[in-house]
Amino acid sequence: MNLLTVLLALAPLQAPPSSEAAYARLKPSLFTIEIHSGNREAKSSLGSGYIVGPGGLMATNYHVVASFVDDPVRNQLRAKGEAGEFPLSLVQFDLVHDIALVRAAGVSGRPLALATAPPEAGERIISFGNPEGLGMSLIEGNANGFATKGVVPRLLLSMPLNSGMSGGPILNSRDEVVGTNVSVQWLSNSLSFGVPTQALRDLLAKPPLVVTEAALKAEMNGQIDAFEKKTLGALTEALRSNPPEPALLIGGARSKPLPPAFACWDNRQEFQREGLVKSQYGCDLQFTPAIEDVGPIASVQVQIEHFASAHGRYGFYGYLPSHAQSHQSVQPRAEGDRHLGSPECASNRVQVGPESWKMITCAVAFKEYPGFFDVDLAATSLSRPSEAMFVSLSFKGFRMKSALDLSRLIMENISWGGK
Amino acid sequence: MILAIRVLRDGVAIREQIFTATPIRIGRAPHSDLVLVDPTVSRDHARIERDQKGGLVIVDGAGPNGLYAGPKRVEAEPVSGRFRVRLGLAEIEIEEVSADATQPVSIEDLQQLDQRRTPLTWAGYMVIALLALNLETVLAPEFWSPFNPQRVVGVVWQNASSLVAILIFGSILLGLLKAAGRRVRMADVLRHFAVFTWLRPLAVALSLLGYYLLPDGLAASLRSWLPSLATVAFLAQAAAIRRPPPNRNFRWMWAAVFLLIVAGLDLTQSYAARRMGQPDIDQTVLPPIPVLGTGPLVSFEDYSAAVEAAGERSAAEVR
Repeated sequence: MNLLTVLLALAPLQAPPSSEAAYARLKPSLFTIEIHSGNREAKSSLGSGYIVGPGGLMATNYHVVASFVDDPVRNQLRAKGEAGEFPLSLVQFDLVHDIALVRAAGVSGRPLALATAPPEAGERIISFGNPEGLGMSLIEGNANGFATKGVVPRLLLSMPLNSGMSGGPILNSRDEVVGTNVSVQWLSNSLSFGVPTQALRDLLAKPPLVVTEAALKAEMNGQIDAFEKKTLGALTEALRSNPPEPALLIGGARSKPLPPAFACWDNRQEFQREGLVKSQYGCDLQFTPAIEDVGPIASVQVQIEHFASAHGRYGFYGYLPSHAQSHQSVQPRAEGDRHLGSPECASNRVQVGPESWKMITCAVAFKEYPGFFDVDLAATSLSRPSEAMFVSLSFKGFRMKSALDLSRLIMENISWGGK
Repeated sequence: MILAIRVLRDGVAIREQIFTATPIRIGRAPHSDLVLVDPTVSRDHARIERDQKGGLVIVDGAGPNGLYAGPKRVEAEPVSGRFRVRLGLAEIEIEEVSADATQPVSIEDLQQLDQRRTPLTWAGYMVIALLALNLETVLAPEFWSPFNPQRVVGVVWQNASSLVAILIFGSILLGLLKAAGRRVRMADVLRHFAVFTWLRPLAVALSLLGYYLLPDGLAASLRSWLPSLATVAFLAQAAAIRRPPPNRNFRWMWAAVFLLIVAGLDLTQSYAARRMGQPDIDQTVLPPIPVLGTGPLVSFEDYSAAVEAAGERSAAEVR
């Protein structure tokens, strides 16, 4: 009874009177964007878009049009809006920031104005999109500045975005676009992210692309290459530097801290019956871009663990192989996959600095992007009888040399000597 | 010439008679040289004689039931090696025995003759074989993993199932050896298990030692191959149980056959795994020991080259 009263009292606050007007005012500039193979009601991908320039120029996400970029021969793009249905052509895309420009010839909706500055922290915002293709919807929420982790800038939004709203505009109270819907945190309640408008401005400044299969593939290669180099450079510099922060202590292991673009978790587990104490430290690089059907680009996951065994050393070493096996994240893949090669592995006992490791590294080649790989390393220390360090490194979408150089840098930063 | 003719029942000799001259008359008639008391045998069923070239030949005596060499009815058939022939429903084996020098008797042969094979002997052999299998199990480091709490249950289960497996496999082996004409008993087969099962723990012990002495890749190959070689040796030796010597070439021949089978199975399996994209990963680690430490190590540069080669293999796969 009391709860009901509170909810009713809150209800007027959640729906300010201006939202009906905003919906009516902005709707003509909003579109649903679909990828299809010629059938009228069927589609293979669904997103949203909004007019940003003359001649029906619209902004959306790269991941909305990704399967068109992947196969422009078999796939077609179309926009559906108040004024009807229009064929679309691809103008530009930015894989890294996840944004794209498309054009619908003959559409005359009003372009939305782009904000000159990012939203203030706490600023009220509204967003549009077509969730699950059920109908253009307005969502209200707040912008909270930029996410503090990650390799690309992302607006941190408190609003419940849904699948299908990707590519819709995020607007401030003056109807200016401050960003583009991009993603939600998986399994979270209403934690969503947006692409800041600056990325869209940069893309608008570029000349339009030639849309042929070969030209798009070359553009993809160029963008992947540039992003991989940038990420490698940033990580290498951070791993080589001597930061003032104290070293990481993971049980009896010690490591130099990882760069702040990583989101990290740590944990300690005691297995009393087994006489084992396991300390874990796991990090992954946030907001890394991904290629359709292939996976993330320049993504890094680092897992450092330490085990202390109270009982016999022989059985302890008997357990370590099954533990290493559980960390090998390269999945079996039969020959003949269009996008990825079969995993191939190398294993040996390797000396890195003063420590000796049993290392297993598996590589999966990207078939359409020659020179790029998923590289997965699992290393178990060998020098102490009743204590072990374990490192698992997962590089997705890297050049082989980059993955090996980063592996070495990370491994060299790890030593005995925690608490 | 010394010719041994054995009367068989169910493939096993029940009577042997020696002849030094031909012709030899075989039949149910009391005046035959070899009397076969069987209602399907004619009075003068067959005779063994020399042909023009001096070779031994068995000739049908024109009775109603005839002479069979294997499935085929014959009028006259040259005799060679251990020649088996059926007269009606009776079966005989004819062998020309050599008059070579006397072979020495080994102590082991004598002991075997003297041994009384009782169920207790069987049990003794089986216990020895099970000990070997248990040793193999406890030598493996994963057996002692703290995350393997069901050790006792595991061992009991393994022993029970191994016991059944030994009896079943032993019976099959016994049957095969008898079919090959060996005068072999279950105790012989179980004795083979008791001796040659020890090759398994030996293989495991050697591969553990190999971990510390050999480069990692070689140690891994040893680990996957030694148990197979132990099995091959076990089978090749089993093929020669109670076979009259010399047996060296015979054993090598069977070893080659079993090696081909084992290698064939292994290659098929690894080929299938490769086609399914299941990488072959060896994760084995062992604790450092005095003197040998962690065993041979390579530099990160060498390791990187191997990883790059793996990457190239993945990239080279034909679309």
